[in-house]
Amino acid sequence: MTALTITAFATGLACCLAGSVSAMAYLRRNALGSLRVARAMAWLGAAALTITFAVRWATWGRVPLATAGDSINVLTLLSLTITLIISRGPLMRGLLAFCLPALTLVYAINAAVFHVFLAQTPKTLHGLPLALHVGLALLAYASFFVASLTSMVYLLQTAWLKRRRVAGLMMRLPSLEQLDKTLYQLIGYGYPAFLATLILGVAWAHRDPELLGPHWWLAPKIVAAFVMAAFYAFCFHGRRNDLLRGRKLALWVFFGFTTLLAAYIAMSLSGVREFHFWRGGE
Amino acid sequence: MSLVVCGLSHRACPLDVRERMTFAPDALPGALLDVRRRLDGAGTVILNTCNRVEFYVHHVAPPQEIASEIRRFLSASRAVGESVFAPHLYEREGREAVAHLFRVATSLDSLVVGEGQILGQVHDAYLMAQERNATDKVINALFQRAFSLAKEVRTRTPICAGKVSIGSVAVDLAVNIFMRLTDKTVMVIGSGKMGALALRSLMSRGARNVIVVNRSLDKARHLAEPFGGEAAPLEELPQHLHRADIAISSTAAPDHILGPDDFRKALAQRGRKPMFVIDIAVPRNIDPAVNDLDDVYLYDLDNLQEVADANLQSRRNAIAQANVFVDRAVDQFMVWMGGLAAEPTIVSMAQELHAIRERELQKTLSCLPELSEAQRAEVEYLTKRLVNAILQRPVTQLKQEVAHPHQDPHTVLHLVKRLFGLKDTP
Repeated sequence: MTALTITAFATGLACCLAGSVSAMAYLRRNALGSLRVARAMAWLGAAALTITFAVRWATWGRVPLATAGDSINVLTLLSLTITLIISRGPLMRGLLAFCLPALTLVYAINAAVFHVFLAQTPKTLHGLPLALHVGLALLAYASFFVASLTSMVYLLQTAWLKRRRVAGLMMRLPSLEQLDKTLYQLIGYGYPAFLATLILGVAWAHRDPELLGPHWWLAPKIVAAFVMAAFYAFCFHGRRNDLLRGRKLALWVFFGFTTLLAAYIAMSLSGVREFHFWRGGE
Repeated sequence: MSLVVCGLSHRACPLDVRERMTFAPDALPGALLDVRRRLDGAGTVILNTCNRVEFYVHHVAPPQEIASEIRRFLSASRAVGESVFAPHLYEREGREAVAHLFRVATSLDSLVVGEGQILGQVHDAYLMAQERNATDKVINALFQRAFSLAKEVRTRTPICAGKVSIGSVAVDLAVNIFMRLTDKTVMVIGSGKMGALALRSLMSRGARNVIVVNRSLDKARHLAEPFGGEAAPLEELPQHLHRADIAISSTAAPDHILGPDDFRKALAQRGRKPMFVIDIAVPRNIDPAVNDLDDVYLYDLDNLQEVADANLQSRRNAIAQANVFVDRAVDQFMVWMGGLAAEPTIVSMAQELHAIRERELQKTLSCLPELSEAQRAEVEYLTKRLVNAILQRPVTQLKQEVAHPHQDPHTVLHLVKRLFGLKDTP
């Protein structure tokens, strides 16, 4: 089964790479055929990632969400699926061409850095609520990640329009209004998922306080999660009430996500993020 | 047989001559029949647009004779002396005529390279001739090839990329800002001609709501009425500005009539939804500092012109690519034409060789009486295959030689006839 997992994972990466090349060909030459190829390849990549996830789950009898490799695997799958769904209309098709190479890069980094996870037993998640907690968190992160890519496209588009650099590439990107609406929708879907994640996490921590210690809520990971929730609440309600829109919203979303991602990576590398509470699996 | 194009176009003929030589649309069928009558029913198409009047003729007469007949026809039908238009009239034959039509259909010969209208006009001209049985085999093939070539050039080169008129550039930019124009409000400030043109471009792309603001309310109403829009006096401009998704300003005001503060207020009132502002007035009506505000995109006349020029330049850069397609298509068409000219000789050559084959086959079969029917048929089939294989290369080569621009087809065909001892074909 490990061979099947590795084959599916590698096939997915190959499909995403091929799709990215086609996507860039579309951006360069406005060849719609290239975009169709990119879309087909991205769907194949998503299917391969689903197979990787499903085979690992079926093989070990555990939801593969807890290791870095597994998490990034699911994050890539969800981001890819969200991108494919939001970019299916003619008004948004340019977004796929822009996002697919970025998602492929995440996929490739996962393959390069964490590829050993494919042959390892997934770590145990204590019960369904915790699995739901992690799954919803990844769904929210995927929404926020795609939102940050969308905001990047918005900032590029607005910069070109402001500088009157009306290039061919610009004409292939979605309109500002469409990007702004998509940004709002992505935050709108990601934010409730993230709130649910927090509620499930807090409930689980309360149920089993001995496992995490009395001051679990002071752990950097939890603080970062609450900061993130506050940040996206600000973005969501700001946009909902027309206080934050257009370029300002795009700037907040882009730099907010980048800062939180940088903080998360720094915490992970320094080891301060973890509770060291995972049990079993090894 | 001669293939000739004879005509006047914007490239060599001044407008005052051109406007005297063009035909009214309802006079074209009569003109076509008249030309055909003068040229004994030759295959003819008349292409008549605001930039050109051209006659495409395929006829047995020499090219000079066809051209002089067309000159006489033009002079008589337009009641203009030949000396008025003859210096501007071009006459092209054979390969040059084919290349000319292909360049016209692909818009390489148009005033604005890459414009799409000309292909429709060529198509209409051809259809009109075809409906009146004024075309022949060569003219049909020529125009069909021109249409397929034009499509090929449009799809495989960036010859049509980007808009080149101010109005269409404005529409393209608006589409990059807004999802759709159907629910957008266009505000026209001033009732100038340029503003009206830009408004028409936007309305043609689906914009529905119009507000015209002008110093004279009557003029504002006059411009707004055809679009079902509303009119307002210039003094009320700040009160209406927040309603405009797209604002086009073209007043004759000597100073800025709108500044950053006006747009700041408008943006706050409209929940920071983006605004596209087109200032086509000279001197400018809107303070350029407005472009520094987030969510306001200000383009003045120079900015729009720069975009149009850049698009035009990229189209010009594509001309070389398009010419490759045209040259190849001309070569292919000339080979096909050559094949037509060489056809009687090729048929005669094949008949001669097959006659020899038949003769020699009978001699051989008479010496082999023991062969069964099936074996005889097999031998006959072999001889046919041999002759056809021997003929294949000379036939292809002959078509190419006849079509070659530096080759006299009569000399080539005469040589082949002498080589194979063929009789003269009609």
